[in-house]
Amino acid sequence: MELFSGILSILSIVMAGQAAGGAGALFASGGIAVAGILAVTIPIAIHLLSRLRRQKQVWAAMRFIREAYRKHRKRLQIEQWLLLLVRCLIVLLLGFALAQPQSHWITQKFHALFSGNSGFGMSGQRLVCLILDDTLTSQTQTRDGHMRLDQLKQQVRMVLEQLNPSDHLTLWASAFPAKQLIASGPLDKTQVQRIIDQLKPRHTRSDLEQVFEKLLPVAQDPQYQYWPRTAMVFSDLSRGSIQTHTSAGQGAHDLSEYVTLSFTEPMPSAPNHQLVGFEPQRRVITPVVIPGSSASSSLQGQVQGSDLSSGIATVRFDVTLRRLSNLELVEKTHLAVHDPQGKPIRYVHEWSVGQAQGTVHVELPWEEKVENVPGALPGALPGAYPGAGERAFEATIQTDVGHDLLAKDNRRWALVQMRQALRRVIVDTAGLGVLQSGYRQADWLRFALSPDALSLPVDRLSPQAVTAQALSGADVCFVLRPDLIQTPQLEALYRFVEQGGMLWVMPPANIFEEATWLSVWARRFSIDLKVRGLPVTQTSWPVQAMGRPPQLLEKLGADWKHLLKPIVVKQWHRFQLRQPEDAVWLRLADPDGSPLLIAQQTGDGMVLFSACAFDPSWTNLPAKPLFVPLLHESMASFVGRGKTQRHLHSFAPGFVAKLNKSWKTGSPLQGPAHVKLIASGSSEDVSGRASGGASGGASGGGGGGQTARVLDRPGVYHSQGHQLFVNVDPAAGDTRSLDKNAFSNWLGAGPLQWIDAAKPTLPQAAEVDGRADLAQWLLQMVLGLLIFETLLARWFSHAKASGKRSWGMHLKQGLKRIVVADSQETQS
Amino acid sequence: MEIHPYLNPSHLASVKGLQLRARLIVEGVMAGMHRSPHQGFSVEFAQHRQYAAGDDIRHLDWKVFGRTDKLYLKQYQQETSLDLVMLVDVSSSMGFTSQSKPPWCKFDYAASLAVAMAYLALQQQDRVGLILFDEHLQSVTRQSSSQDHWRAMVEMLSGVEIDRAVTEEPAPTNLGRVFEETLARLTQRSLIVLISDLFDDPDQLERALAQAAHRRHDVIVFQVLDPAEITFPYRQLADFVGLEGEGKVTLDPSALRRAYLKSLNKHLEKVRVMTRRFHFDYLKLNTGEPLGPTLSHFLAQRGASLAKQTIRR
Repeated sequence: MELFSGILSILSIVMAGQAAGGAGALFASGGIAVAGILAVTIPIAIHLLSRLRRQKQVWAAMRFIREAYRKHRKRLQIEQWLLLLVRCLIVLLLGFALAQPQSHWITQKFHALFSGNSGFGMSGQRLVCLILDDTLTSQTQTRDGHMRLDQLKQQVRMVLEQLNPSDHLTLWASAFPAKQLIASGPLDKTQVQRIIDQLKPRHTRSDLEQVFEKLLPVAQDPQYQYWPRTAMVFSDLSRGSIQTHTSAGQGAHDLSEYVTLSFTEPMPSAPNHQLVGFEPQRRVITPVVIPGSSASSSLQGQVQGSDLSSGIATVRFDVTLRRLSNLELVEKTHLAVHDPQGKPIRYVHEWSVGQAQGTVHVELPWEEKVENVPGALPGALPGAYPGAGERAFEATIQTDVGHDLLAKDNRRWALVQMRQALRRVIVDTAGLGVLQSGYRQADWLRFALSPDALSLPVDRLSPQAVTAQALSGADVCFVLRPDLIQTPQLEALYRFVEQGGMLWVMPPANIFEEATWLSVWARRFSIDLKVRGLPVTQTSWPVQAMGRPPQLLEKLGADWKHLLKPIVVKQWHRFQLRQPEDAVWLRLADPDGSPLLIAQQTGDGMVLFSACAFDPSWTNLPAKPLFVPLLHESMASFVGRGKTQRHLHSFAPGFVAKLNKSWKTGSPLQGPAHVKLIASGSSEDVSGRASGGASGGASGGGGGGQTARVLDRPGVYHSQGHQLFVNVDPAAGDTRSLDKNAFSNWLGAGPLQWIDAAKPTLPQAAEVDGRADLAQWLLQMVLGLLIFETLLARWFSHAKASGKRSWGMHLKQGLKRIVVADSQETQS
Repeated sequence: MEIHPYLNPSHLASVKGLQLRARLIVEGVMAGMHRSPHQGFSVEFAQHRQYAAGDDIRHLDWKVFGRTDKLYLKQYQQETSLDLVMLVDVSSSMGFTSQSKPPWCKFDYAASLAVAMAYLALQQQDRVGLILFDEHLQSVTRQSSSQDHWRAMVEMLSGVEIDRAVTEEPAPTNLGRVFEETLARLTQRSLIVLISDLFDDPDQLERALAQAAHRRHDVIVFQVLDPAEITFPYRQLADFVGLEGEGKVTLDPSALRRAYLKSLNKHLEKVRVMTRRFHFDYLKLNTGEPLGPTLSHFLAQRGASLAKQTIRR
């Protein structure tokens, strides 16, 4: 009866734990566990049945049986009970092992049982992993004037007070890139306090994923295998800190198998106004020269060989604002945009009810001297080329007191380069292909690119002269004879595009043949483009507007339809493109829908394939008003877009900055922080992740470029005439509170434990081992018990004396034979 | 002639012709049965040996001296006119057998042995008597050396019925009392052959042997055991019921096997030591083994041993 009542009580515990689910569940498969418990009755039943179904044996030598039985009765009973117990245990443990026991619960019960304490009652050592959130939103001001990070630090200090000197601790800062502040080891409270006091907030989002991944080896360290292990994350859990559109990854899930994870509860939302975007409409500005002015005269002089000229331009910016506060409020945001001299232009944006985001268009007049910097364009074509002038523009916003509690996202920078002109190169043969009109395709292009006398001339290269050096410093390259380009020249052109150049490939205007060259070009530029047969000439087609113009020609949007209307295509190659539509730049209006112009992004640059030569025999485009703006707008809009293109570097904090070769290794970067450029060592992407070391940065690298260290602080950095800027990610400054469920889904590591912000304590559960390990351990125990039971049964039944030899006897006999044989051999 | 299954333990049920089988056994054991430690009325020449100073000159062979001028002594071998008394245990425990085909119980084996021994003795013109006993003497025959007496003994043994089932009134052994009653009937020194499983109190046996030794009787103790009693081969849980009213014990034989064998062997050793102490012969017999070779070997050994003792004297 006692046995059955015991079984019933175990069953009730299992079922109760299973019903509670989550952390309270004993087993992952409660049904199997219950079956295992019920299966205990099997050996008991067998035992009882064997006692019922016994034989009757008459016996003469009864006195000896009685004598033996009298002496060994107790021992026999104990043996029987022991065997029965072991058999029951085997069945029970097998059931438990198959049911995958939850080590959380077992560990908790174990501690409660042996320590009489619901928490960390064991006097043994513990591993405590503290993760402190120093992300951008940790700088959010609280109502009492402190930073959120200060509150989190205070909570960490309270936890520190609860630790024993024998405990081991590791401390991490979770902002991207994650940093290990203290490696796992014996607790030194003074050191931890000092590091916490010195910890400053950074300007990035959280990098908890990396923290979890890097903590996993620590948690799996055999040294801590049987220690209670816990990881406590002190974070404001804002939407900017944790970006829930991704997941915490496998690291969090794996870590939760070894470590009890707990988090501070999300802090309430805080009002925040952000400067989301500060983008110049043109990153490279060509100045306007006023005839008769000094600028004009100096510019003319430069063309004739002078080193100095100046220009006036209007720089246009699109400034995007966002507010993360009560949208019912009617608020004002004061915007100030500073020109390179620091002179501000102010705007006021009034938020209407329900409005969360707004855009302000800002125009600034800019007068700048344009210098010809010798050596800046090494290997450029003879005749010298005007140098660049880069200047940083700054935009800041300000709101009423209390409406914006995070200030670090109120400031952004943009770099704009003023250049006298873009450098354009036409690759064509000289003296060939005089057409009916007397002008060759190159002439039409040159007319369009240099429409007035003040414009700089267009450089021209023969196909054989195309090299990387010849293309150095060029912005746009028009290839009019692609059929004459050989592999080395094609490679040079590919590198040119990859490094940010714009390459425009047109079919040879005076050769009426199949464009076999296109397959070679398409393969090199990884574009699935084909053309078959001779150019199509059956009929002419008017080019009609199909929707809005391409992105680079957006400024022509209002007149787009009218500009296209007079264009007629008389002859063209029928391109077959099997890539997504966004590669098509301009489409013909014929029933086939064949593309007229195809654009492909390659590296930082762009390559365009034209199905039609810009020649009157192919189309009337060169003679129509669209031609000039088509070329100029395409170039002006594109140049300066690439991340590493033409010195205009922009980065987000926390990443390793990769710069192009013109930046000199070893030169210091001046700005908000002093950083020294180092040589690149790997082929890491421009936005390569920095390894989170305590030193604060590490090198990444880039294919052929220079590498700066991690640029943590936003602002403008400059070195030897070059500039780069670092702007915070507006998404990282989202101060709105994170939903607990969203966070739980992001974490994907089972039920969460929350830390009481007012009285943070170490979590109750202490993980001793993983579930899989426990199940495996149980299976090993079952195996051990099986062997034990076999030996026990054999020993108790005295099988050795039953007439059959035991394996030990066989072994002994075998050894004896070997020894005898050996001795006989020796004797003989 | 009636068929008795007492002379071949292994094929007893199929053997026909009791005399033949007894004779077969006896022919195998004749050589060892000629000597007895008892001095009788007749002597038989054995051999000559050279005279040595101090020898009794009465035994000088003068005929040899006359022929060879050398002094030789005549040596004689004593023969016995033996009184053989066979005590055969017919208590309930002797009815036990673990062999189903043929059902060869310990009493069957004991009877076969008794018949063979009687046959041997009668062949030597010795007088033979048979006593069946359990708690008391159950049947007693007169001592006789006539050939018809052997047949009478066989019939008497054949007539014994031991109830192999558990009875309300079991017949346990009481060797002390049995020997007391037996010795009271013997008027001269005899060779007492005790055939029993000896599942009695060793103290009783000791008392019995002491009495026999005191009266200068020779005793041969044959302890007959079933193979199952020696090896205890049972494995399944069973109720063990005593044949002599010891009651019932439920046990797992495999678990108790070692202890049982220890207890049994201790008893057997005690019996062996006890018989040796009184200078009696002891032989443990297994009913699963053929009787002939065992008995032949035993008697040969005994004969050799007696010869040695005689020469030493």
